[in-house]
Amino acid sequence: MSEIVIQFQQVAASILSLSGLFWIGITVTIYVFSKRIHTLTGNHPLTLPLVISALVLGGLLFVLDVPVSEFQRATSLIHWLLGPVTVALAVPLHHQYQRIAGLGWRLWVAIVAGGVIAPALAWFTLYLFNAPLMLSMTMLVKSITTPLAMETAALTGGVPAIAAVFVISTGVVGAMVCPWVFKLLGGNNPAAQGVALGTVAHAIGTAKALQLSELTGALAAISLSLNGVLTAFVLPVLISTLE
Amino acid sequence: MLVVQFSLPLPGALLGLGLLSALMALSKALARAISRAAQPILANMSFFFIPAVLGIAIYWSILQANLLAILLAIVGSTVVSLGVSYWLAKKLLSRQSDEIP
Repeated sequence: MSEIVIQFQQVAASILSLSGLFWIGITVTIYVFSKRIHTLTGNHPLTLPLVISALVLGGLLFVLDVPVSEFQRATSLIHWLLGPVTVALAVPLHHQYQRIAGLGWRLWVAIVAGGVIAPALAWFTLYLFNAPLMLSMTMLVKSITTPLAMETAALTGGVPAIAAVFVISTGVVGAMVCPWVFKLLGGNNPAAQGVALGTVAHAIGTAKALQLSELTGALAAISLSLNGVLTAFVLPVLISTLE
Repeated sequence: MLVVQFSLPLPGALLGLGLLSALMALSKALARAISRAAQPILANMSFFFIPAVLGIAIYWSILQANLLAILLAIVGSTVVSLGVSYWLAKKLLSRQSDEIP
């Protein structure tokens, strides 16, 4: 509880400062602009507002010679709200609860399979390339939602900040390639698309799923939360037993 | 929603999600109010990820040294596991598809 109070004080201090107001304002402006571009390009996955915003802001910080750490401190309110915002996923979940309840154990099997294959494959790829252990440990949390991934990475010998970047990249890649993957495998099954997107590509996949249909979004939301909880609980235990 | 979040220890986001679902199940009027309030948040969720994404710059040198491995790991595993999950979910859930409108 006291930790939350301290966090809150830091966030409050950063908003009240001039640079906080300035950078949050800039971020909001660029985000609104990115959303317009996304709409104008017919919701193409390459123009996801997150991708455009990050590129434009990154470029701006580079041109103005502002360190990213300073930008992150100034905009800590936005990052801090990520957790509470995740709670809003309860809404699509609630609306589709009846449909989800009927799926039972089949849903669990599909989610667990996706939740195990994605990190295992990523870990193995980095192992083959002899990448540093901290990178492969961070890779294990790439398919779960950012706040949970950062906490879990800290527990398993990964790096929380890199975890955030891996998580986002996975989400963006997932949202971008999903139309092709689904087309390749054929059959228009909105429920299965939701399960795949939520399990593998967390909240960004869920955002994409919400664009496809409400049912897809609801299944993505439940897959995201089930896989998130499972990974966050199982992974630290598994790793401490192996060590 | 924020108040719910404040009173909870970690992992708050998921406990909050559960609590909010429970609240919405309790009262229909509350559920309507909550879903109205949540719509703009749901539509703009990616905004909240922007500062986290820019964190990539801090670890640029380590990431750059392993760029190929990281790209392959992320793209490869994401494509394969998306495919496998979709295929498996389609097989497993298709029996119910008659009941799902």
